[in-house]
Amino acid sequence: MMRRIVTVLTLLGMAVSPAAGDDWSQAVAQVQSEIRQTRSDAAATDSIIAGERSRLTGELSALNADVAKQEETLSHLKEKFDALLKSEETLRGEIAAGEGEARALAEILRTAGKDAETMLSGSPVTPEHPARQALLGPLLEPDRFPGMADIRNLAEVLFSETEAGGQVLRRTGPFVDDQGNETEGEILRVGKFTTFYRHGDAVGYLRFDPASHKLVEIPGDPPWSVRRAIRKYFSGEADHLPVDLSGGVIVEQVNRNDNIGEWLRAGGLLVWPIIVIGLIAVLLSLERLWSLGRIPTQTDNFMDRLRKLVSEGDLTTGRELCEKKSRIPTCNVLRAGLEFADSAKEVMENALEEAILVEMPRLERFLSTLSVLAAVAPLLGLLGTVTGMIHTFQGITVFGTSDPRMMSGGISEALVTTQLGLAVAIPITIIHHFFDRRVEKIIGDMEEKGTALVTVLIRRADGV
Amino acid sequence: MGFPDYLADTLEYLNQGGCVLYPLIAVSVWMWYLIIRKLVLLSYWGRQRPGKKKTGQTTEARAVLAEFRENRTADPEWDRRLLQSLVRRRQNELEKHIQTIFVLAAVAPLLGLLGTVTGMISTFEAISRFGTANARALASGISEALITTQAGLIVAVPGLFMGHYIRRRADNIRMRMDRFFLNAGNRL
Repeated sequence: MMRRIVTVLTLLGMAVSPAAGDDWSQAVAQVQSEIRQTRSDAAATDSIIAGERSRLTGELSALNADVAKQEETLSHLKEKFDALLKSEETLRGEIAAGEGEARALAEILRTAGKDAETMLSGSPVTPEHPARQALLGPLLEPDRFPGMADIRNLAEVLFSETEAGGQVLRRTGPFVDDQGNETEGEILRVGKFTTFYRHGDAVGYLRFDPASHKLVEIPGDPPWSVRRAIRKYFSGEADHLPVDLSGGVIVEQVNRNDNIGEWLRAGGLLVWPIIVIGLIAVLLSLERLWSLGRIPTQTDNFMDRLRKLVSEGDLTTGRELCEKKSRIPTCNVLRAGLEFADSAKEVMENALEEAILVEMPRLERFLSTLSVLAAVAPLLGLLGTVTGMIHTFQGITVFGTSDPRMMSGGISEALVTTQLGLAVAIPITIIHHFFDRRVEKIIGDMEEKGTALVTVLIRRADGV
Repeated sequence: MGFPDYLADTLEYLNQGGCVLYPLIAVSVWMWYLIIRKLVLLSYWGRQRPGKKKTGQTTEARAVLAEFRENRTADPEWDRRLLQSLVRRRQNELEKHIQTIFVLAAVAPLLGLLGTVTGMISTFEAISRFGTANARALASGISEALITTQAGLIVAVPGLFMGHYIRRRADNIRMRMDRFFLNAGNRL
């Protein structure tokens, strides 16, 4: 402002200088008017400036107030935002927790469904409700969340299974017999334990085979008494049944047990000599029974008759009597004594002893053989035991002791031979003892009667 | 607990012994029957003490002597022999069944062993079928094995004891008879 004025003044001065004084007044006036003008301008400008300044100051203060207000709002909003963030976080946590629970629940349901399916696939009730397992299908899909309908289905299946476990149901249906043919027959289900069948005259046990979804006959025949009981129940004569609580395991064992051939095969090679020994012993025992059984151990009656004849002096009749009974050793001995009736005592004595010695081998035939057999049978059994044990230990060296089934073959061989050896030896021992006793009695009888005969003969000779 | 309960318990116990136990019981019953019979006979013979003047106590000795008198010859050597054979007949009566008792007592532990083996076989059968995990399946075979062994020994030990006791008593009586009749024969 000031500079402008000065400039103007300077310019004026420069302009004035060449001019004359007349122009001064003009110029001064002009200048003065200029100055006035300028001053008024300046004043106007000043006033404008002042007005502007006041306005601007007002505006500024208004804006400042506005800013303050806005900042306040902002801080409010920030607080709200923080609060919202926090609540969002907690809600997220809640959602996560809920989802975990739901997943666990679904897992539990799926596990229950799987368990139910395994149970149904082995249950003998399944053939009566073939559509049952389809109900559980949706529950077992891994990517699907189970709904209430699935849970209801599961509960329904489980309840129906429980109910079926408590009833005895008789129906006609298909099953597979032990030849593998599909047949129709009467089927009787007792709870969940056992299933029986009757087809014509054949009865037996059935097992549910999960692979083929069919009832299959358990191989082998149950014992006769069991079959009779089942038949009686089917025909309504009896009200009790041989139920297998193990689901077929016991029946299988029972059906397999009455197999002598298998038992002998388990015994290995050494079973055969033991059996041969047993057969020989049976034959020899029958022979001894036949020959010794017919010989009486007491010949008192015969002796009395002979004594009477001899004391009467009728030796020839006595001899004929002995001839008639020649199968009795005592009579043979007495006949030998009668042959030498008129000789000296020593001769008679020798004749009797000789006759006894002649009879002895006939009586004692096979007895020593029997005792040898009785001694050899358990030894053979022991040999089989040792052989079986060797097999067992060979198996152990190859396979280790991890699987007892590997060893049980050799062990059963060992035990079966022992068993058979003892089973053969014990009866032979007892039988041998009895024959022995009988022979002893007969020999005692021979000696006694021989002595009696000699005394009678001596008395006769002495004429007492 | 009454007697029927004990009986039921015993039968239950025996039932676990399997089928070998039945012959074992038969052997036991037979053996004890013979033992009791022998004891009765021995007590009868033990009362036959010649020299006591009571009547009815020397019947056997008198019977022997009567028979001897009836059959005696003039030859002293033959007379002794005759007397011997008459006495031996009674002695055989005494000796009868003692050997049987011993044989039965010897057979009983063998039967027990047979039961042991049978039980073991069923045990190993159970092992081959179920593995060693199923203790219940093993237990029946093992109990069969042990009960029969036990029963065999229970039968055998008293049997041997009684057999020896009976044999000793029979020997004593036999020696007494020998002494008596030797003297009697010399005197007659």
